Amino acid sequence: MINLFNKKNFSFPKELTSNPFKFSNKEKNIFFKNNFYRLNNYHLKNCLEFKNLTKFLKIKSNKSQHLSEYFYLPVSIFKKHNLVSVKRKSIIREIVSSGTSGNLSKILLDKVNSINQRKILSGIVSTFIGKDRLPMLIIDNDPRTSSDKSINARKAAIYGFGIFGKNVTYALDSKNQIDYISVNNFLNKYKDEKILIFGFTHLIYIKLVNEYKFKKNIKKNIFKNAILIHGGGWKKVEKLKVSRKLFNKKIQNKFNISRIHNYYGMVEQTGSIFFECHCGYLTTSMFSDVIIRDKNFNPLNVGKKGLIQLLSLVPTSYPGHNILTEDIGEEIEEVKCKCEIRGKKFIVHGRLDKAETRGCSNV
Amino acid sequence: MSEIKSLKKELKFLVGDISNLNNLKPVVLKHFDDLIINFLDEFSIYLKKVNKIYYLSDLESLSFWTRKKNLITLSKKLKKINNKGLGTVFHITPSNIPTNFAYSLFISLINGNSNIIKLPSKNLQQIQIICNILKKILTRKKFVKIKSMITVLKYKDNDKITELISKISDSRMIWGGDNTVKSIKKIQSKPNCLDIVFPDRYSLSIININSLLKLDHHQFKLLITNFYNDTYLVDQNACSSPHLILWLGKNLKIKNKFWKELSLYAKSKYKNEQYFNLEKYSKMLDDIMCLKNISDIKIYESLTYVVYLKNLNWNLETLRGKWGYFYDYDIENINKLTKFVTKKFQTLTYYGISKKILNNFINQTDLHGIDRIIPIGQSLNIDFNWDSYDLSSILSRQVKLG
Repeated sequence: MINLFNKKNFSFPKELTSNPFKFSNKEKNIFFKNNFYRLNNYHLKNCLEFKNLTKFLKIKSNKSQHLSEYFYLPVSIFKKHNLVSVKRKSIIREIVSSGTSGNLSKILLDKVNSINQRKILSGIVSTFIGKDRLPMLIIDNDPRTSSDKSINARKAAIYGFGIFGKNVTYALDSKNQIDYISVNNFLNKYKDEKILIFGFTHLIYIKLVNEYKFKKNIKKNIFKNAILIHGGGWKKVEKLKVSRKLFNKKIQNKFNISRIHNYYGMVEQTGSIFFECHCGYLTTSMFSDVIIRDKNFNPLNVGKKGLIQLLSLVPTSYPGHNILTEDIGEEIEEVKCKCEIRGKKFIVHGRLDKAETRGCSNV
Repeated sequence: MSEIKSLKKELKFLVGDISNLNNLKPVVLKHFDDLIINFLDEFSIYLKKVNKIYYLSDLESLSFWTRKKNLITLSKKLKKINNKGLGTVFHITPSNIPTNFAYSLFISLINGNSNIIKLPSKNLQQIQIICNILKKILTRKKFVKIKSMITVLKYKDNDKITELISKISDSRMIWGGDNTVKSIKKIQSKPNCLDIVFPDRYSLSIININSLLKLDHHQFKLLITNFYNDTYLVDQNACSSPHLILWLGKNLKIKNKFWKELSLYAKSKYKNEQYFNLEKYSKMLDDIMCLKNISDIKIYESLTYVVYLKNLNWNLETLRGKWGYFYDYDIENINKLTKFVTKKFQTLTYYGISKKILNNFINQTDLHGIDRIIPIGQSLNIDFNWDSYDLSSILSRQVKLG
């Protein structure tokens, strides 16, 4: 039995983090359940608010109970409360959500949590793109040039994914316009190599699919060895009204890129992101799990649409290991996926419909 | 008013047209004018007929309120001789109660005023139905005089337009809560324009628990339906919807029955939106973390959240729920409520409490708020007395004859 949380030091062993899909589903379930129980107990002991809520609601934390029976926090709680499970002075970083509306979520990280995030992200991404660092084009502007010094989810993702690249080139200037000189220099330089393109889904769509114009010595063929990784920003993606299928088709038609991976993740669970497998389904690793819940929060079976709950073994400095998102998704039957990437498969349909509320203050 | 013509593109008229806005001499009638009473009666008959298709309870109430018999009764109580309309009244109306704009309009019409109504941005079925009927009746020859008195329009929030209309208005009825009141008040109006404002309010209920013991099944069900109509029907988000339920006397069994029955009724009637449930769940966690005076929380049928309080604290008006989220407290004596009541308090709905006790409560010298004390089920009824304004006199002008 591998215990991640039996010592004072929660640094995850590299032989596990470097291969986060190596377990069979059965092995993973045992590994995850056992460690999730330990992690939950750790938060119960170290985060007073988490303990008080669990106690008030009389929700148990037993080794034998089903994962769906643990107490979960709605993501909105991180907007109002700064929850931590370590001593305040060991917090080294604050990450805020890049949400466009209302209050921002604030996630407080210590060193161990930060390192584990990076290790697990690295393990997941390298499963798909290989261990070598690739020349990387980021469809965004350079976050180091921004005057805003706080770290939001967007910057965190750019920094996080940036470690997989070499010669990282930013495709946009500070005014979010395509910097053709940098982009075309980059493409000319690496025209025969495998390259990595990374960015937020809506920016990829607006900047690459809609705006980018080929110049004379840059041909569509130049992208034939490219791998595109994109994700994030559901609200903006929904506004585009583009399905996954259409998105991929447009990318393929314009750039001839056939390796496209979408990923899904939350700032509350940075690191243990969900990558699209080769069949196009989001996949849990051995460090994460997903549960779909109905209107009354009862767990749903495979194939039924509902609210997405995300579980992760990564959050240790704050109780973000079990969160209820505001996204709608569904779990996919195991048999539908034919590829070798193991894990629970699911798809995201979009944000929960914020039905209109009547109100005196709503004129 | 040539300026308003230049903004014509922004305006969408549901009743009346731009010529009504150019009228510098608005029609004014006398208090409870027969012409208006007849007009509203025809509206009432028409609405009743149309509502046979829709069966909307708020339209039914509106049709009932506008019928001649009711207006004559009101007139006998409220009519003032030598009172006339102020001139033009500009109504900025909210979307919480779909028929609110109509009550605002009709009360002002009865006072003898010409009216310009800015509708809420949401497209509500009831508004469309009401406007269609008004438009039809206004074409009748006998009501030609009223035609310029009713203008119903829509525009995207635009301070310029609001200012132009404010400058031709003698009164502004500003519904929509603190934010709307603040933003409209900033916009200039005529020097003698009277602002009647409806800011955010807080409402609650009080129930005598012993009176529930005597109820038969049917009576109990009626109480539940009435309570549902005050709350769930408007997402518990009208200023007069109760958030805090006070129980006079102790009987846990009956209390549980009340909440259980309410949740079952809501289950059969209310739209069970995932978003509402998620918000209620989050609100509950927030309350557990922030409130120190909770003894228990129960969730009935996933639809009715009840937070049981150990004691009352200052800032009662911060205890607010939506979509069926209530605070519950056992109080020994209604007078114990007095010291928590502030100006923000609007409606206290009650059940099973004698008028004598309520009279005594009102006449305590240190009661700082609460404008209406009415039976459960009537919380959404709009009346000439609203938010402590006597709209039957404030919206008209008395000519003194010596």
